[in-house]
Amino acid sequence: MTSRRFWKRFSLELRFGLTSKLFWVVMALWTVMVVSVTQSMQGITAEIYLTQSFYLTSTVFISICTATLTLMNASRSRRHNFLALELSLPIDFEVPFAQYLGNLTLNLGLLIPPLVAALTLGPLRSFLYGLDTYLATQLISISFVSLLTFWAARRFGARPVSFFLIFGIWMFFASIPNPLRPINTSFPAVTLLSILRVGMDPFWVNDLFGKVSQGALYTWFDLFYVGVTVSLIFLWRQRYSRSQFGVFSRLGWVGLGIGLIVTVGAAGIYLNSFTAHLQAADAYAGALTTANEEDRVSISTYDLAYRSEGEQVFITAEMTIQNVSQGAVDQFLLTLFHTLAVTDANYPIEREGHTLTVRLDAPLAPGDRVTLRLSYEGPLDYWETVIGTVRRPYFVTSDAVYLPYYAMWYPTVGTRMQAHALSDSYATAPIASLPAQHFRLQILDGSLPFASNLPQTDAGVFYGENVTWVSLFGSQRMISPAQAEVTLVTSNVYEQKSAGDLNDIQALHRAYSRYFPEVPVDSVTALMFDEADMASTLCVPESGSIAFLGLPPVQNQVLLVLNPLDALTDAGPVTESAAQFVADSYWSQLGGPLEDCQYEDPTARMEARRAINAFLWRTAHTDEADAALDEAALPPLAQALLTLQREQGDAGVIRVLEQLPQQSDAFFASDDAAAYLEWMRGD
Amino acid sequence: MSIEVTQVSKRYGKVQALDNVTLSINKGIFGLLGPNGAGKTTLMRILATLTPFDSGSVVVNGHDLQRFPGKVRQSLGYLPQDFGFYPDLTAYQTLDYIGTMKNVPPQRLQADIQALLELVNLSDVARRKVKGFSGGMRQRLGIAQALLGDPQVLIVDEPTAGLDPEERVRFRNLLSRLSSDRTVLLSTHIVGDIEAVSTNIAILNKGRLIFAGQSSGLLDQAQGYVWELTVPQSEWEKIERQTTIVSSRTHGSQITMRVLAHQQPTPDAQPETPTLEDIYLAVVHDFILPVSEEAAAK
Repeated sequence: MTSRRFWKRFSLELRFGLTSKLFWVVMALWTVMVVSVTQSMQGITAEIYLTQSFYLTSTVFISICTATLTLMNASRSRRHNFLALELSLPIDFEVPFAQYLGNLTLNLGLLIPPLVAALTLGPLRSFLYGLDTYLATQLISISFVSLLTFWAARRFGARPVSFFLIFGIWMFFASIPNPLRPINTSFPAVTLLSILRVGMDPFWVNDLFGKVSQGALYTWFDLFYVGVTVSLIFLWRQRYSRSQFGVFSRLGWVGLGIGLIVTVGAAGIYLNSFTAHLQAADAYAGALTTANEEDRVSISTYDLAYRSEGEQVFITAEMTIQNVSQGAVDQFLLTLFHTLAVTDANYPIEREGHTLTVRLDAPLAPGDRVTLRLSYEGPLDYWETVIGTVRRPYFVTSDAVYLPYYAMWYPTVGTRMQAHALSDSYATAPIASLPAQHFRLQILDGSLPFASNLPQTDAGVFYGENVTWVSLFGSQRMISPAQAEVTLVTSNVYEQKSAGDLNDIQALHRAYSRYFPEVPVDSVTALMFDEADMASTLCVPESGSIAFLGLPPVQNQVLLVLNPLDALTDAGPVTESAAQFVADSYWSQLGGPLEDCQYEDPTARMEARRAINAFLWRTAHTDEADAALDEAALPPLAQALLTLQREQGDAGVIRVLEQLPQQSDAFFASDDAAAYLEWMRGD
Repeated sequence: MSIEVTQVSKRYGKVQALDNVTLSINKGIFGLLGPNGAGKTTLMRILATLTPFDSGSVVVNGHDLQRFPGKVRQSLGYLPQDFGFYPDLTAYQTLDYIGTMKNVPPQRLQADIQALLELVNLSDVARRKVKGFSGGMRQRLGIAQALLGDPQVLIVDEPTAGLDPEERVRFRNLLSRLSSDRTVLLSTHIVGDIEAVSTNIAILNKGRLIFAGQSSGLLDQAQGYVWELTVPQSEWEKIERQTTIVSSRTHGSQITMRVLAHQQPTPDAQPETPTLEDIYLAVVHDFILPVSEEAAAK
């Protein structure tokens, strides 16, 4: 490795690249792109973008690198055809290896100026948190592309077409939308990587075998698959051909294949070792494998005081715990993100991963309440690291606080898998829905402006009743005043993720109600409009209480989808500002079908919607506890729907649901269940 | 210092590039002649270990080329038909790089480079970047790189293509000098190059070996096919239909032609002693059969 020949070849490759105008042009373009994108983003989107989806640009970037590499090599071979001469020299493997490493070094060199420029201009401190991961993934991906390109050059000789061939393969797999590509568990590369446990964590498994797919990840898989397959084909050919390529003898090909696998394995080990999230993965794995205990208690009230210093979160929580079971309770389980250490509590607490076991002094009788006071603190910074892509679903830094409801930043009852991305297979798992009668959140940290899905009732105080979930965002750079007050704005970093999220939401709906139509995930756009149509059908624009914000330049659109939690638990209307946001941003961009669905009496419409939700909830829960619900307490429209369902089955209900939107506001103002039923039967 | 090619065949898809070619090449210049597409470059690339072949065997200096390509390369200097250098390297740097690749000892490399640059008459431009070189200079630098490491076998593929007459002569002379102590395999379709430097030749056409041996033997094969005749210009087309015209000179209304024909084309046509160029054309136009077919015919 340290021979003269190695270094001669290595330096020659570097020299050629550094004297190539194309190299500098690409570097300049990439720098301009990174800086312009990062500088143009104002607001919390910058934080989210840089921490979650900056890595998306890896795919773009690697494509650019590949283009550069292929063009440089093609140019070199076309004009100078040096490789033809070099191949006849008595070289062994160290020389082509040096050439490969030289190419690799050049491509990695392309990374540095854009990063330096972006980091210098800032404000991109958050990005530094993931820089090592970013560089590692880049190294892996670029290594692979370089290897493939190099292999083609050696295998096919110095033909320009071979370089463009590789570029074409890359772009083909990088550009095809994931929903159009069948991906299943028999995918060889996926299986192989599963065996290697590369980047393994429950989320990853969830993503892998569910429908939440990520372009970069699968692009990488595809390339790996193509590389291995092609290598094997040529290994096979080599066995029966009489080629006399010294460095590419049968042994050489075997070595190449082994090298490829070792590279992947080593990269996976590296990724796993330098991220601290193995611990998190174990915690998640424990949560997944632990049988869910029937929740015997509920938390009826929350009173949280939040403070953060740098990356440390300090929260004191006072919660009212109620025994909702039929028997006495002397201990119960809570879920809290595993890095948040409990520093003080008024009851003994044992911890295992995300799970807290609270032991009461004395058994709590059915219906009785007890107050639990907890103080907990620690970092809350979660990364998902998988080969080819990195995400940061939630984090607390000195620059920004991004604590969506799935971040487990406040205790919830039971041992639950709380994932922000639920695939079909997990759609029925309980998620962090609260039955809290009230949730009060006080912000003691004045360094950042905060926004929450809870209405802000006072300076630094957010308060809501019948709360389903709570998210908290903090940043000096909110998107806009209107969006700062939005019920819930979550980032949707790119199309594949959008499709995954939307699919999950659909899955949730379908899991709870057979009346929720299945929308094929052909594309994000199509799905988006289908969702909008659905909202239109119900004539309840307020149901769009999750706004998925596509971030420029990836997807400069705002998506609106139904909020399943809201729909199922009847959390109440969203705030006026959220509705305004939707009206201002979403419909103004897309031209909404709700234009035809304006109504004079929003309250009546909202009540109707609640009734439909109640009906859906009731029909989806047939267990003993739900059966005991007092049907007479349901809204009249829900009662009528239940009766109709018993009489006419699903077909009758679907027919009625389809016709409900056309009814007048006065129709929904009625509180006579019998009148509703009569209309339903008679129509 | 020999190359033994035995029944080598190579096919590219439907095209039979080489068909059972057998050759024995020893010290000195060996000329490989043939029209474009005859299979010369394929054979050269096979000998240079760059192209695998389908069947047959090749032994270079006692080393089986398929089993020991590395050893063959150690004794090989190769100048491809199409080659290039990194344009931003100087002539010296280029040779330094290739010498390193050939494992020339560092303590010897500098002296070898100087000597080779002198040999190919490039020592004055040793520090100039290759991108500023003319075609002839590049070819000479190409031969210099092929000679680095003092290979016992030198393979040069169409080395004079694109060179002006003076460069061609200079290059041929250089090859002559080099052939005194090594095997030089020269491939070309320029008959004059072979005629000037080589007595041992092989002719390939359509992948088949037409002739291999001393050029004098080949001249014997072409006896009786070459004629010179003088006819009125008006008879040009008639003669062209009956013969293969090698050359012609016009004087007044008459035209004197050198032609290939199986029989005396006109009563006053005179038989001529064949030259290598005549033979080359005779091969191309199937006046001379491939070695194997001739043996079969006999």
